[in-house]
Amino acid sequence: MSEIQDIQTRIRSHTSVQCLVVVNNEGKLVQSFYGQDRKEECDQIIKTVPQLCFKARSTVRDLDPTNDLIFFRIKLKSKEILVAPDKDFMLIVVQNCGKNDRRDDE
Amino acid sequence: MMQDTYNPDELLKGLAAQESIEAYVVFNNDGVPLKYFKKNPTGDKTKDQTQEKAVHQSALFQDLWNVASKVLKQEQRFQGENEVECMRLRTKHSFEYIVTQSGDFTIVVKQLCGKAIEEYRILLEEIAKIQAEAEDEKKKK
Repeated sequence: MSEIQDIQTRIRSHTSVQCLVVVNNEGKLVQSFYGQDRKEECDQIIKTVPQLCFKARSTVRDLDPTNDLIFFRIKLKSKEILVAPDKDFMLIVVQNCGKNDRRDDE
Repeated sequence: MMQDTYNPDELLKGLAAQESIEAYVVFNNDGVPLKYFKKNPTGDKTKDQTQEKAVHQSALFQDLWNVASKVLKQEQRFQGENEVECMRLRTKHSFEYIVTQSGDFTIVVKQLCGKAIEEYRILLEEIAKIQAEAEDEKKKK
């Protein structure tokens, strides 16, 4: 258990990370962490990302049924969405990239 | 000038020459594959199979890309900074699909990573061995 927490704190302590969310298989929120004033912004992204990830997974499965998606990342203009799907849960991280590489408070 | 030296065919050739890259498909907005390539060291597959696969891939990734860009743009209309630039799908069989779009054209690249590259190298060596043996036999005859 502490191992998971260690990993989460490690990810959260990264300066570019805006939010970290754990979602279950039905797309419901299990755990969330938001950087400063990022809640609304990230909430909207996170609402749609699980479905997108399921779609990506079915894309991979369609091409080769023995294959499976283990990591999915989408690069947007100003941020990057990283998704690590697993059997029961899905970890989503939104991080800044490019010009505004850091959180605004720094 | 950059534009003078810009030659898509040569860029794609350079891409194909990379060791880690196994296949790519370039397709237009209608999902029609325009250029596709697959490394085929054994040379026993017919061309049709590659084309079939290319059509399949371009249809699926075209759909995925459209949904992703639409959904992510809609959600943050007011910000206007949520255009999708690149998507990467890492899969269990240790390769990665990289999708990116420029203008009307989208490219999907299948890239091997880590273990798969070494496996591919071993495969190439084995094929070279088999070919060498076959040539030896021919000479003996």
